[in-house]
Amino acid sequence: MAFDRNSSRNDSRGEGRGDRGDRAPRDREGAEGGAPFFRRRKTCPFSGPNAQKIDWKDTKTLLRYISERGKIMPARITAVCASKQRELAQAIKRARYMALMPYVRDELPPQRSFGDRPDRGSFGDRAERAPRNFDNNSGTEG
Amino acid sequence: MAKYETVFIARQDLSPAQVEQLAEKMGKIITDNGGKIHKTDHWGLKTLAYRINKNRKGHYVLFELDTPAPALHEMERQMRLSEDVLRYMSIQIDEFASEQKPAPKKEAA
Repeated sequence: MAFDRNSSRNDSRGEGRGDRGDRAPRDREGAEGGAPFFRRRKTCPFSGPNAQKIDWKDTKTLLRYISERGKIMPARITAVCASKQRELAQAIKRARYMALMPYVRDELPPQRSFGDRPDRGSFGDRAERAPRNFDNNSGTEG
Repeated sequence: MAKYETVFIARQDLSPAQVEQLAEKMGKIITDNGGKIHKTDHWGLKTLAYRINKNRKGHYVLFELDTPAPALHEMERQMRLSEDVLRYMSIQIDEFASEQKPAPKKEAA
């Protein structure tokens, strides 16, 4: 581990991102063979003599740099250097525009619709107050 | 003359032959206006990451062009007019992907 100076802080951070860090150890163009997230790599994967080029058409690579939600990962996690991070962000945005990548990846749709339902119930309860406690949903129809 | 990379997405219910025809039509605009087509690449029918005009899939076509800007603008105008083109994007590039040198320039960390 290279970061003994602030290792304790990194450990606590690592807890929060543990889900990403654990899943992340994919084989990459083997500089040090480390996980792209969680462990701070010294080198940027796009810098160096024979680093790969950032191409907006290369969705497979770009997908590694977005979160599960579809957000662009911060460079402090991915260890991409600043200039390449800007390039990467541009590439991801281009890929999004051309529908190669999602703007937002939506999981948990059932919970969302569940959360909507009480709102509709409250409309019904404005109309008729008393039966709300017993038949919440049928009251909306009537 | 500058080098460009243009990708457009054609509607999903076109046949591959129709897409080819459309690509030829667009390419002809470039060649008629003094540009050159370096490469045409049909990516085929791909699933879109999100719906565009109620299409879930689209035919992707990539052009690598060496063309004056007015020719490109004319092609883009035609793409906007065409209802078969869902989306297009043109990007100016330094060199075509196929003619890149194996070792790129040095980088600052």
